[in-house]
Amino acid sequence: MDEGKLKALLLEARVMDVSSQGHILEAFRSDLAKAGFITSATLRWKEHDAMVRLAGEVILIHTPPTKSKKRVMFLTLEDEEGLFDLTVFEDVQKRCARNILSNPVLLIEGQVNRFGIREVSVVVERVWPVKELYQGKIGNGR
Amino acid sequence: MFTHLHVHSGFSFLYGTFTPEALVHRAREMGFSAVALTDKNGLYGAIRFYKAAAKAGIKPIIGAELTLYDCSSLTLLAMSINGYQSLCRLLTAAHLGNPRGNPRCSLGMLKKHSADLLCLTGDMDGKLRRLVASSDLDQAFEWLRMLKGIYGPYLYVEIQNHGLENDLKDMEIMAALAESAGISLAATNEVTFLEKEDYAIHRRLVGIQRSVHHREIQPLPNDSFYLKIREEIETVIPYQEALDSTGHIADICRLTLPIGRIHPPVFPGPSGESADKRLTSICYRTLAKKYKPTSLKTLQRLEHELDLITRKGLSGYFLLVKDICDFVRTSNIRCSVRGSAAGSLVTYLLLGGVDPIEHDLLFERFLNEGRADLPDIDLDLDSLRRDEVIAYVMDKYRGQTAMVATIPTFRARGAIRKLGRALGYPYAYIDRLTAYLPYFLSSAGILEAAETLPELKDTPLKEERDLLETAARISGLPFQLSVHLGGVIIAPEDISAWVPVEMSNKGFPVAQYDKDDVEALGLVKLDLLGLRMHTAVQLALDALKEKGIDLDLDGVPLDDEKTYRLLRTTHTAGVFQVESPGQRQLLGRLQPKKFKDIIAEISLFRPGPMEGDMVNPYVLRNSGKERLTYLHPALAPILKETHGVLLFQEQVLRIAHEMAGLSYAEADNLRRAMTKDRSPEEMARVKETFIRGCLSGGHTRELSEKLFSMVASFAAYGFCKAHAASFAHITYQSAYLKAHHSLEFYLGLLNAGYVGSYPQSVFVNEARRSGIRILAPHVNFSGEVYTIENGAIRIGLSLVKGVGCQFARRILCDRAIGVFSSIEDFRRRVGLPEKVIENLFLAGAFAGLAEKEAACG
Repeated sequence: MDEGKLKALLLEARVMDVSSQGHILEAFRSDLAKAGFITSATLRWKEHDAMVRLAGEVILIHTPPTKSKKRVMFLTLEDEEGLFDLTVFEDVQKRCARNILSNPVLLIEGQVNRFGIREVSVVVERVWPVKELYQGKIGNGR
Repeated sequence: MFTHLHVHSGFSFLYGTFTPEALVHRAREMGFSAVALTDKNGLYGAIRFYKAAAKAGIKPIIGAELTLYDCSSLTLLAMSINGYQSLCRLLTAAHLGNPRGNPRCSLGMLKKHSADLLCLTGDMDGKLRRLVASSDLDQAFEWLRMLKGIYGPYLYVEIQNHGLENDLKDMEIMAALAESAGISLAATNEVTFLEKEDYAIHRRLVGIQRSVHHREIQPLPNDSFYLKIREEIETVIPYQEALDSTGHIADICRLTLPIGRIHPPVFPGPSGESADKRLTSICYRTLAKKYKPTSLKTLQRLEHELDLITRKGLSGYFLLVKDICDFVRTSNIRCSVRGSAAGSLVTYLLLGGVDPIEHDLLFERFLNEGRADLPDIDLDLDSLRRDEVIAYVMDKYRGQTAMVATIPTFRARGAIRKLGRALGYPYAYIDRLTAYLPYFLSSAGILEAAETLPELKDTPLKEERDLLETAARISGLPFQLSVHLGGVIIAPEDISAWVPVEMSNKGFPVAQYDKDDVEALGLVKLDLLGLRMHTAVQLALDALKEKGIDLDLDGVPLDDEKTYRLLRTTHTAGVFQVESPGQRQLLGRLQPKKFKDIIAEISLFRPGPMEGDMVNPYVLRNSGKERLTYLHPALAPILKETHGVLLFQEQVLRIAHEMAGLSYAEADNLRRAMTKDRSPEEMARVKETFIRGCLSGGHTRELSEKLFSMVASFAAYGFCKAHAASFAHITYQSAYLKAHHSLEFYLGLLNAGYVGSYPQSVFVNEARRSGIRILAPHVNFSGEVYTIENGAIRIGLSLVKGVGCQFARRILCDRAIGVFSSIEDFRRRVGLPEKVIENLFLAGAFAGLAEKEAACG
């Protein structure tokens, strides 16, 4: 963890909603990379169905009405390289909804769903808060 | 026949416990043929009540309980349309003549606006009852004589018995007084809940008034204030005459509201020139300028539109909107037409926007022979300057205008928070109760949500059964009058003859009716909506101008390759309408290359097309991966533009017109019937008309059935193409700015407030990722908001917590004298609270100054 960077970003975040210094994920990137977490820019090139790990700040959570009447959560997260989208189905919500709704930064694992050549989203299977990365609860995913 | 004449619904906010519709339903169940609605100081629920009663075959009696100058109350009922107008004027005078939220009626007002009103002397809070209770019988008699002087034979002494200590005794005295004054009696029960059991809800609602709004109000003393049957009333009010006279009153109250007719305002044009002539002349002049050469088809289209507009008497309405748009244009405020109005050539010529000829937009979706209601012309305006436009309208049509109301109803989260406060729970506990409770959950769904949502698994809310059930039971009840974001009513004459008016927080008059009520009364309602994207675009254009680039964005051709390339990359955060996750995914699949692709993108990403599974066929056919077939070759010209997918409402109209031979008016009726609460009977009728039309056109029954099935399944999902085209233009313009002038585009977005789907932090990060440097706020370099500084974006001082606009301006004012040389210099000259200075320090706003301070120190 880049503690200096994290401290500076957190101090700035206390007094502003925007940052002149960068993205909070930059401070965790080296540890995230070691645990097999990729960035949103890399995600764009992943094959359909590939298993991936990503981390990001929660930007949007949307639960629109669905045809099946089952609740689907659509999330948009942001890392230092851009936005990426997640889909969380009901079975995963049962385990992870509280984590999703109560943590500003999430670490996720899931399967890539590709929409044409440009756009992908990830169907989430597991969710962790960032602290679990440092509690050794996540593993390197390989 | 006994009739309830004193009834408080939920529109006596946080007091009554039922909706007007529920009242009508229950009254009908109980066999009443008439019932009144007399909410406190307002007619907020009157139109809904009137419509529900008419539908149920019950006679609606509209009235109100008014608060008088001495805080006593009086109940008035409208006997005719004149009476309704008197009531509207009286309520308006009571609201506008007193501080906001404290309406009071003076005797002068009662006298002035008494025509065709029937007066009941009031409940426990009535002045008569109060005087009787205090044994001041001379004054009581005098008060009755005074009221009789105003209302004559239409004054009734209201008697009630709710089983309170002095009810019987006071009733006797009041009956005697009435007899000696020659006034009839009327029995009422002050209905505040429909069932006895709902008394608890009433107490909770009043509890909210007391604890949340700090009002000094008491709940009703017992549970007898419910919708009783006649026999129950008879047992407690031993005056047959008083019961019978309620039936007589119901007979003489014969109000018919002018519902279903339109009442456009008269536009004050130059003398001697009719509105029709003026509109026609403006349109032809503009046509000659915009279409060179003008084709015969375009000329015929204009003639057709003008013919219908003038025959419907709507020229004044169009000129009125033009007048507003002229003000908007001369004031340099960005504006666009939204909705089906964008499909009209006349609208285009008067107001601008997308060319309906070029984009093949259908006028009849907006206006046709069969349309009985007023067509909406809604405008999207730069949100920072929308109030200037509203002020212009209010000023120009003074006395004729008011804002439309919105009447919010309880949702789960708000209900729990307010009820929690009424119960005296600490805030911290209320926060725990509502943690993880979805924001848009209805109160009615709260019981199910508590059981099924995984995030609510261990919520303490589950232990609060009573609270949960009360929240569920107040679902759908209104709790206050709010102002619609941009709806403005313009009445043909004095607005207070049509609708009671109050004063909004901002100082604009606001009607007591919401948009549906206003529409039902046939009044012109303009939606002058604020659109933050217009603000962002204007700010970007201003920044470009400062740089010496005077960009005519409205004149930019719609075929810019760089703009479409940007859309295809799906890097569209900040681009109007195509930035949400779902829209970005659809962009990735659609890969737009032309303006029509943006129109399709906007139309496809709607709940209807998504649910109707229209997206996949469209995308597959658009990319040539699925073969395009039509049920009949005649459908090709109609559906070709959308690859055979029935996407637009205009296409439904065209199919009904071309294939079933219906007029556009019939086709539009058919479309509406298929989209709005269609009953099986209505559907069968519509189907018969459609199929008969197809058969007469020479089509086979099999094809006709198939066509109907296609139209019926997709009509509910279709989107208005004219609206989509209008929005697509803003999408294109914002994408153009992002593609060509990203620095100014981001600056505009950041300074326009909360634009679109994402918070500002995302736009700041996006700007940085696109190569734009982001500079920390600085007391010597920052402005109040974001600014451009040598190709970078500098964060404004007001963005630092605790600084805000006021302190930021103070800093700028002091800096105008000279830059700050040290923190001490800043502290001495600006004099801000230490906490604010600390925040500025943490934000980096003193960078480079600290050393100087040390040097000085």
